[in-house]
Amino acid sequence: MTSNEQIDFRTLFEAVPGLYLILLPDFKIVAASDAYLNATMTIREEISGKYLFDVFPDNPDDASADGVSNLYLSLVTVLKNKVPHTMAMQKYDIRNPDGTFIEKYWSPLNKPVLNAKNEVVYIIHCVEDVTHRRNAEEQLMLANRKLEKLNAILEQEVEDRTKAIITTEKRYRDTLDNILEGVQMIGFDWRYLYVNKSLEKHGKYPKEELIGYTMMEKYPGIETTDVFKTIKRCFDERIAIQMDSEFTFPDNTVGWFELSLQPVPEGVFILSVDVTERKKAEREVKSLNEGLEQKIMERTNQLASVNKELEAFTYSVSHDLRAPLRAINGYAKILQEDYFEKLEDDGRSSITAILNNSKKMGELIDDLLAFSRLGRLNGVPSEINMTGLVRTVIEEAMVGNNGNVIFVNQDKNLLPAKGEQVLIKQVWANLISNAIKYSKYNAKTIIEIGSYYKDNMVTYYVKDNGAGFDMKYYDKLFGVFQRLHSQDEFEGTGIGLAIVQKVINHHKGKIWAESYLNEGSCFYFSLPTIHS
Amino acid sequence: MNYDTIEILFVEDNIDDAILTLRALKKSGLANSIIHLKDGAEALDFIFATGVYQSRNINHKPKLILLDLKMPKVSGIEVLEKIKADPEFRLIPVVMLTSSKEDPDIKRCYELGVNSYIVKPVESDNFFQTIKELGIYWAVLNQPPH
Repeated sequence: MTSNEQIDFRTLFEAVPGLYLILLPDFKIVAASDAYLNATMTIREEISGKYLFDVFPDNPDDASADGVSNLYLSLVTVLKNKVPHTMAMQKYDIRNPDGTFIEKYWSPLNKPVLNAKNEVVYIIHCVEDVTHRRNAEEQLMLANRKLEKLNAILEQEVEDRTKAIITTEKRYRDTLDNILEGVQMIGFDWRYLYVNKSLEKHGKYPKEELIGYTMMEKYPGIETTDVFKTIKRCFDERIAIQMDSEFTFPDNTVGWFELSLQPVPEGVFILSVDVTERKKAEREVKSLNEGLEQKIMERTNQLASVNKELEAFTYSVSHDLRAPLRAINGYAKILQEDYFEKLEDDGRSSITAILNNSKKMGELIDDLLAFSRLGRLNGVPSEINMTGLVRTVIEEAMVGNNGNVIFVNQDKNLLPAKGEQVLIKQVWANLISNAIKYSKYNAKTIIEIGSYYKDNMVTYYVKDNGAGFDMKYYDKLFGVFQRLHSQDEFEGTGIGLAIVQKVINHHKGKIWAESYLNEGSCFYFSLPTIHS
Repeated sequence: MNYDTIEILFVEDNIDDAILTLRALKKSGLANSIIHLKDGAEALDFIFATGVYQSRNINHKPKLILLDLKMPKVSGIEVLEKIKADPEFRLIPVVMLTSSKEDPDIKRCYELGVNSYIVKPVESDNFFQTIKELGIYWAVLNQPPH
């Protein structure tokens, strides 16, 4: 066993692994552990007996260095209070032998050593090099800070997203609320989960009276309707269905809707378009149309009966006027044949006058009937070979002619046109026979016939060098029974050009004429082309 | 009266038309063989030897029947229909005479088997000429079946 005096405490102290520095109350260094000397890069002999702050000054390159003052305050506190004082972590840079400083962090504890009289005789300054820990902490802190930043960003993003979702949802909901189509969502228990404003109108209930109620509560008897069956099908089969629905409301009004049903997780989503007004309009149009058809039928029947009456009238005129005329003419003829010798000149000329006038009236009746027949013709227009048609008409007109009539340009073809051949033939016959008739006092009658295109129509003309007419009576030219020459000069009933005009008007063509008295006339008429 | 020489049966209610027609037929030398009756009922009695004509020899048939279309009581068309419906008489040539070519019955006459359809001209020269020609054609030129 060894006594205390035999233990070398100084050697022991200097060998402890901790970093210890022993100070006197006047802060002169009395001892230091080897570990301390190592950590502070100092040599025992150089610091022993020296004033602490001469050995460890602040880093002159670090303006914020406060290690010296902090330690001083702590030491003063220990002297005064005579209790240990743990300092906060200190930054105190260690001076290299070459005079540069190494950044270091320390955790110091100053502990007074008291004698029997309770006086401070030594101060143990114990430090721990926490540079590594401090760096680790700093990195942790940086990492934490980064993390916090990321967190903040994340939170912002979540907030933004949430806001966006809320905005979008609100927008969708606003849209749904306000679209013209009715929107409703029906749960599997037939309760209204959502309705929009249009549906309030369609359904004739405000939102509050629908949401939470079943369809059957709001529309008793709906179970028997097609709508109900279709919604049921959508619940069961989970398919989209379109349908037109006629719906009778509890107030007995009827509405028409186009429905589009869509299965959704909550039940069924229904879009509805109110087509009631359209349906009503359609019905109205239909009934108006039916009325119109009825009216047209009535009018047609009326027209048909008027037409029939007209025909009967025409027949009657033709029949009943002709019979007495025939008698007048016949008896006058008998007088002429059997009693002419017994009559004086006055009597004879009277008989001749009766014969002429009754014959004339017969012609008038025939012409009048021919004219009225035109109004009843409704043939189908077709392409007319005008060259051939006119050749035929000329041949017929020239029968019995003494040869003073010459047709010029006959080698030239006429343009074809569209029309009713029978009627157009009558037009040519009337115009050509007129040209011949009104040129009868000429030594030579020259008639020119031609055609040309103008304003999408074919225009034809018949030109003669005959008597012509005074243009100041032009407006009478095409009138029924209107004549511009006396019967003595040129016989006629005044119906020929009226017929021509009626036929051309019927074909949507035009007729006109130019003339100089005693120099001749030119009659023009236009007809639709074969392409019209 | 001896009806057995009758070759032309002429039915016409209008007395003026009748006088003029008979004059024209006379001028064609056909006067002696004509009988003129004034309506369709009388014409049927004559043809089928009924009524006032019941004693007539029904087997003597006229060579030609001239029928006015518009007549009181029985019209020309009804007479035509009865003649053409009877196998004994339907071979007798029948010529319809009318005042108007507007007549809606022209087609009906042809359907019933009329042999000719003549519109009486107003003008007397034409009228006389027409009647003469038709009388000569049917009563003289035309060869009827036996």
